Amino acid sequence: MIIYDFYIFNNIGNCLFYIELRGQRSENKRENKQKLMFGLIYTLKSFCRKFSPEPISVSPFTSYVTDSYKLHILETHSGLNFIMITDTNAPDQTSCLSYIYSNLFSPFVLRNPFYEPKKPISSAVFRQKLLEHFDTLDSSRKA
Amino acid sequence: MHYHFFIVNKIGLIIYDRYYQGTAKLSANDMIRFSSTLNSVHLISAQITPPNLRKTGLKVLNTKTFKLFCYQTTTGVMFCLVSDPNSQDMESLCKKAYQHYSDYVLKNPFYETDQQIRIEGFDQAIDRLFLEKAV
Repeated sequence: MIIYDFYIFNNIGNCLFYIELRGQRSENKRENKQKLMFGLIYTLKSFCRKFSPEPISVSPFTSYVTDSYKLHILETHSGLNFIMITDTNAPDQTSCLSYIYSNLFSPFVLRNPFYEPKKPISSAVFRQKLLEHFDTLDSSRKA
Repeated sequence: MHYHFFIVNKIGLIIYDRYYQGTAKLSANDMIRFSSTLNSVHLISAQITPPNLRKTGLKVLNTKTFKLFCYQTTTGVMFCLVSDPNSQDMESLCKKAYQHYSDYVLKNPFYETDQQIRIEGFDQAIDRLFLEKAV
């Protein structure tokens, strides 16, 4: 599995955390892309809720596929959105995203006394652990 | 099991829709809103493609309660099929629907391009396609 990007957004659309695993972009382009991304998932979430054949109160949206990439999303009850972009053949990554939330985000970010909620995450340990986790998933990255 | 089939033209207007399995019908206004949302989502999803990859729009939308498949033709007409989350070969069904569209709609001399499709033969062909497979 190839992993391209990973994002964490809060409920009001601020990008708290962002990693590009393949290829770098300029600062300007990056900001634009984050705005587009949040706009897109916000639209899709309300779209799916309304469009669902069975009435549902939370958004049922889990992933979408295009010809060149696949986007996975996990929305927590507190409104945080964990987004991962992988290649198209990747299986469902909901369990991987909930692993990141409960085993990496919660201990290294939420329980960190210096972390201010709604501010971008600067924890080096979290970044380190996350990259290590991605290395285990994406075997071609090490090569 | 298929819930809903619709066709969106190249400027994001809905030109055909059909419901199956007793799905609650959406109002005409809702459908107009959805089709134009889908059109813009399709464009934005192509914009955020990771670098060095071909920029293409949304194809399959997976959710816990349904699956939406969009097949975009080279002329910009989009064939969309909403089914239950476990359905397979939605792509071939959409391509077959495209075949019926070119046979019954485009070859009809009274059909004006980009307008609502009200052709009985097409309705029947589409129903045959989706109901036959659903059983």
